[in-house]
Amino acid sequence: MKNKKILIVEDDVALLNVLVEKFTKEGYKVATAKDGAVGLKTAQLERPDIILLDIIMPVMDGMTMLQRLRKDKWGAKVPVILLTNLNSAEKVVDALENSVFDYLVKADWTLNDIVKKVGKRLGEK
Amino acid sequence: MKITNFFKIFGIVFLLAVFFEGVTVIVLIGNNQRDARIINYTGYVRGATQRLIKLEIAGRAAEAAKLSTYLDQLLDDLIKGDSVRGLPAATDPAFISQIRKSKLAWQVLKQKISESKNNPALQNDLLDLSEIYFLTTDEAVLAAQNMAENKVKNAELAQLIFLVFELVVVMFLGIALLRKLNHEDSLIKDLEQFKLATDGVAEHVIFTNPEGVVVYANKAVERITGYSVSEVIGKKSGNLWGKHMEKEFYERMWKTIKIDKKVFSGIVKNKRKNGEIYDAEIDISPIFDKFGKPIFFVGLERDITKDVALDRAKTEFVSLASHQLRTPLTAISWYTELLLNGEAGKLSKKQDDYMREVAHGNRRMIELVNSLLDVSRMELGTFMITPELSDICELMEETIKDLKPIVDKGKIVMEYTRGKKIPKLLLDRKLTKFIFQNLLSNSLKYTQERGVVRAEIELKEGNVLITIADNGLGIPKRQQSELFKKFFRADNVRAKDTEGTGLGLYLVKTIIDSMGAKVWFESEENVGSTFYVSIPLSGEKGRQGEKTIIKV
Repeated sequence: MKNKKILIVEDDVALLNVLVEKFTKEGYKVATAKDGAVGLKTAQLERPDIILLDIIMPVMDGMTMLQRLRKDKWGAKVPVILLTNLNSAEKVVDALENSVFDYLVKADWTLNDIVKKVGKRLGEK
Repeated sequence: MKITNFFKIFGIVFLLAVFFEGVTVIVLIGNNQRDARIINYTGYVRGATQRLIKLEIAGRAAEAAKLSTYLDQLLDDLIKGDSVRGLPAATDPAFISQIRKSKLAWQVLKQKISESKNNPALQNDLLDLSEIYFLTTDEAVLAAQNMAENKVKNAELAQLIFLVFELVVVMFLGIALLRKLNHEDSLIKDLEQFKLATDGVAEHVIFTNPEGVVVYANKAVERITGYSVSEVIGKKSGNLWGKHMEKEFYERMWKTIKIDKKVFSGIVKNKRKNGEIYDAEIDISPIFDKFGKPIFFVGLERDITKDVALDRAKTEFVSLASHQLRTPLTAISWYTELLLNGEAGKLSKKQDDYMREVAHGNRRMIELVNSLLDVSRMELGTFMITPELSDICELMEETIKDLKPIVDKGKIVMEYTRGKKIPKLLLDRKLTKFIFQNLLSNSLKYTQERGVVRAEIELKEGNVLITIADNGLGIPKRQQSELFKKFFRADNVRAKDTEGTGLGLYLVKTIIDSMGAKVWFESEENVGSTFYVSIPLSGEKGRQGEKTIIKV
């Protein structure tokens, strides 16, 4: 996935680092943010091709960031994959209402599968 | 002589009368106009006494003696019969002064009066009644003479029959009254004891009539609902603290107690007088008369708000802890993956082996956390069942395909029989696959190498019956009743496989129960186990929840 830009919004440094390493290796340009507020700014600034978004984060949580993002003309269309350890139907419903491409529970996904998911979404574009 | 005849009859009648306690006034009704007056026996006594005195004065000794014998007898009966409140004549001063003139009569009377001297209540009664006269003395004597002399036979017989009849009636009425009083007495006693007992219990107890109007409430009702007992009596409980559940709940409740005539048990949300909503466990028992008509309902209610809150806190803690546990587990999972992929350089054989152990251990941990999360959601009631029209055979086939690696690894023979004409059912696809996967993987796990696991789907008695059988370890008989309990693991599998959580079958059972389906099993140790799941053709019941779980 040469030249594709991914924004990873994740507050857990260990997880953020491993994701950055993996996606960099896969040839992505990676931008990061550790909370929703920074994530929103970075997204608007960097205009990534896809966003991996955590939900529970300090300052601004992932769902709030997503809602704000969707109000933006550009942000309304960017594919978002929610990558979180919080799995609840409310969140899924919220996510679907905000046209989220997928909702993945981190603990149940390998890095390889996440990369495939992202690649599939971008390939379809 | 004739008058003595009359007194003889009167004496018999009176004797009959005295058998019955509480008869105060005995009346004679004559059979001609004159005699048809109501005659008080006091009058007869007075009359007879007067007559006796006259006879004595006139020196007609023989007649006087006979009359006095009857009078003696009469007085005797009068007094004897008056153990409660007879003998009005004896306290009439005029009568006493008259009778005093007859030695014999007076002797008898005096003796009898002295016998009742020590009974002040009796004497009061005597005084009260001494004023009752229906006839004057002369009239009484005339009536008596008339009856005795002219119409003796007919009158005697008619009177006797009538009096006996009347006395029997009075006697029965009296007995009935006494019984009723006794019964009421014991009822009052019972009620007092009952009130003491029910006021002492912690549970709220009410009785309502068949329309739901409260007729009795104990003290706990005040404590739990905040309404005083007097506010509650005469009102419908539904209008006080009820009506906070869905309509269907109350419909089911009334149907159970009124139509099915069974005890209704459930958990409800009610409202206290101060507006606070509380959780209560209720039992409503219908009480029927001998014709099967409900007479009243007995409602018991236990405030379980605290238990519910505690339970919720416990489950929420598990849920939160599980989320928190998943993050470090994810870190371990992803870093080991990188290492195993050789992304940090090629691993030696040993390093690779060790990393696989780490990955395996971590995987187990993640699965345990996931199961705990499932359990906590299930117990919180926040999982959804979303039935859609599905091909159950297809779901089974998909599950078998998913499990193929385990089948191959154990060199197990996997047999599958797909029944004919199985219609599509309303099924929650994820949950149904979760059930199949759990049952099948248990069978595979606890079956020896080269064992046989058999799955079958068939139509049976309006249900779709799923059978999953193996010839594996089986479940020890003494532990079979505990199989679906949370964290339960049978001794024989615990020894063989140390990795199970004891949550799989608990989840299976919980899901199946909430779907309106059934699960059961037959098993023999070292022979094998057969699990059955029966789903009605109408499909699984839907259930609204907040969250979705179970990833298959």
